Amino acid sequence: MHFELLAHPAIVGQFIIDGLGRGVMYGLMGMGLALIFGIMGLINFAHGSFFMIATYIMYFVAVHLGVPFPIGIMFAALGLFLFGAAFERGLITPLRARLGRNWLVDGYVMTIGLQIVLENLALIVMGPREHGISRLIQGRMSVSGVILTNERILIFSVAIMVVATLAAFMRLTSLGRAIRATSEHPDAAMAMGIDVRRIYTITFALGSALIGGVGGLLLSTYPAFPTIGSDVLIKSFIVVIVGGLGNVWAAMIAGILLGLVESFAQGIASAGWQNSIIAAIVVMVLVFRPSGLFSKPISRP
Amino acid sequence: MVDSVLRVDGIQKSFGGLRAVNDVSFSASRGELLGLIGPNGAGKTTIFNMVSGIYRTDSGQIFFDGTDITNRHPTRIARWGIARTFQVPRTFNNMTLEENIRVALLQVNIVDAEATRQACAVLDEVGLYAKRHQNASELSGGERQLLQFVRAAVTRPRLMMLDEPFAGSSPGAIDCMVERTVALSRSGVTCLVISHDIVSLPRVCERVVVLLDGAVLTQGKLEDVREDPKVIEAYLGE
Repeated sequence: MHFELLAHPAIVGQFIIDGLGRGVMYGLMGMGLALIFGIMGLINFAHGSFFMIATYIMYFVAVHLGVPFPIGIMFAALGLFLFGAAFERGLITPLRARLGRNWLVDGYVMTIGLQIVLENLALIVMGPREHGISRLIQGRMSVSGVILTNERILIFSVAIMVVATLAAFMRLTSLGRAIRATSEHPDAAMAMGIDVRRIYTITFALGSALIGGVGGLLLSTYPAFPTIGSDVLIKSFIVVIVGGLGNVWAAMIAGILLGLVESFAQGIASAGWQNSIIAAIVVMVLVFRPSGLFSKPISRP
Repeated sequence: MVDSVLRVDGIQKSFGGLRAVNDVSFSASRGELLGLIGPNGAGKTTIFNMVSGIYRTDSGQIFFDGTDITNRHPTRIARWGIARTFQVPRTFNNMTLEENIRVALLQVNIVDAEATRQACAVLDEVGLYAKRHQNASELSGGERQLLQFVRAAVTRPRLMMLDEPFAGSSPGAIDCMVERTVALSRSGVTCLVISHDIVSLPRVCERVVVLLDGAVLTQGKLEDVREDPKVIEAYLGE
């Protein structure tokens, strides 16, 4: 343990910047998962595979076709929006229609199956080699000894933009209000003429687009690879459990919190400790506050 | 009935081995205020859920303005002009009162500034205007009943189904809902009311259908039904 490092402001500043950088990435990863769970009650186990598809889209659009990175990210988000909409409408909607209120367990199994299919398809089609890039954008700056890369600034900016856009969409638009109403009482929403089937398709597509955009944005950190989604799925689950299931904003706060913990743990202890500390936090949250740090407590029988 | 807006014809519904609704038939005419009464477990709310499409009907048919709406999707049924409230108020508690009304106004394509204006107007009419920016979770049980009542009413329904609207409400809220239900009826809206409130029900309904164990025990004018020995034995008790 190197607690003496905490006496150096520049090092502490670097830990914070690194932690914020990771945390924002984790938060962005968890938001799509939290959105889908919060509105539909469905845990999308294929979330990581959606990220994987996005990294391939970004790689081919940005590297092979030479399209600018921002457009590549948009392509990845749009591609996953369409994929998510097709999956929800083609497979989840019929499942819900057939099983009524008892569709969720089958839905979980279906997304697990989808994850397996997508990973193996990627392995067959793309092979086991990683496809990545070194940096989305070059350059860095130093403030009082704390180094901040331009790519990290880009990720911060995108995170702020995504959170603000999503908040505005949910609060200020008719569709956003209909989505929020459906998440609380689908029966009451239907009784007011809201097309809940359409809301679910849009929600799933939006959650997929979120992780799609993130996959494109993080290509330099997470290169395209068939099983790259496994790590992303675990990180997403961690931020969603710690923040509170279904709470999109809590996922971002929990992501930042975990990023900071990881950064300090790695700096003060060693790289091996960060996962143990995070696992301990998850266990403590599950034991003492199972609804998550930023959601209303749930009573247990 | 020639001017029948709602016609329920021999509907049945079972849950496992339990027959919750057994060959129930009744009809309601335009602008009529019809009560649906009976002891707990008589099948009243199940009938509401079947008419509004939440439950599928095992057999029988439901007609609305002459159209067969049996087992149609709840969204479609709502868009045909059937609005309802729920026994346990299903207000959107993480949304403001104004947003609750605005969501309902979407059905009649009222959005933006006009939606705000209408939401404020209806909340003002029922005394909830001052709380329009509060989340519905901050309301009392009675205020939530009132909110879901006006939320259903703003969709301009032709049939309004009210499930225990007076339960847990203050006398003022009950007066407000009674007045507005009667006004809806006078404007041609058919109202179907489930209620255990034997004091408030006569202020709203002239005719009632009495249910017992999922079947129609009797139906007719409220004062006649109250004198019926079968009803006294099964439900009223005095």
